[in-house]
Amino acid sequence: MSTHTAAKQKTNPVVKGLETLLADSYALLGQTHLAHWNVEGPAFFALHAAFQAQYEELFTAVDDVAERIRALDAYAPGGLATLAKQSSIDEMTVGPAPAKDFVAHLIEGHETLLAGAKELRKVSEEAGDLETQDLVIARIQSHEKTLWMLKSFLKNL
Amino acid sequence: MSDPTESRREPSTCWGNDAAHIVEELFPVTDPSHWNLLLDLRGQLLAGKDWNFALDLFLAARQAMETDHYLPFYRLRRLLTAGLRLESEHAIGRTLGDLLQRKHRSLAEARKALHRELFEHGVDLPAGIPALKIVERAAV
Repeated sequence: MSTHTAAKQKTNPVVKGLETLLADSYALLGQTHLAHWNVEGPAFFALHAAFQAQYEELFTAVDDVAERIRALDAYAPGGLATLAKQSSIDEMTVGPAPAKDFVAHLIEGHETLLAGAKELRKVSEEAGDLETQDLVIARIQSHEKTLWMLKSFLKNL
Repeated sequence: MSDPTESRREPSTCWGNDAAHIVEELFPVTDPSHWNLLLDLRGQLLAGKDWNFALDLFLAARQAMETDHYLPFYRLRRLLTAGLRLESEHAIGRTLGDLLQRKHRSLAEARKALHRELFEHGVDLPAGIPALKIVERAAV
């Protein structure tokens, strides 16, 4: 790939959207890992295991998103500081917190990511990039499923 | 009770409007016996005149409804701590976020608990525990 092509792709709205999706997914992965480590209380075992399954799924997802950026002849951003700057996922304060707060915090993170992903689905459709759109639709489905699970945990029946 | 038709203020930040919107979403999913409390809380969030009263209303509403509606009260707590602060947070070494993480039913109860906690930890405040005055954070 020439430097010229890489520079041109940097302004491609699909690539920009994928960069945001990558940054948000990485940030959410970090927040889910933090929740896995620090959750406490009677629901510890269930949540500790659920959060692990969620961050493992996100770890696979960031690889797919980064490789899609490369397939579009652009370079994938990386490094915690760079990704943190590009992400809009809030960080949770480290300290004692009710288990439900970890769940609620992750719900907000998934909602933030979903809003960006839905925008990217539209942008990739308008660009005629159905392969990116397919990847993004799969990500949306995964995040909506996780949201259902997290919200179900907070229900008091 | 606050006037529900009261027009929305235009604050430097929109956190009060966002918080009022969350309260509005609670009406269709809560028992009508809670609606007066929710109306008052919504009115205070929009008027932004007496934050201590607004906080007391939030604590009362949370006590009554959080078990069934954890997420909206979590979101409200986050918005309140982003928009408001304890005036005496440096003197007492506690933030509004610390205070709202406890399940106090009122600011008076929070002040009593804080008094007990500082006494148990041997913290001596020469002027005693100041009143817990809630103020809006300066606009950035």
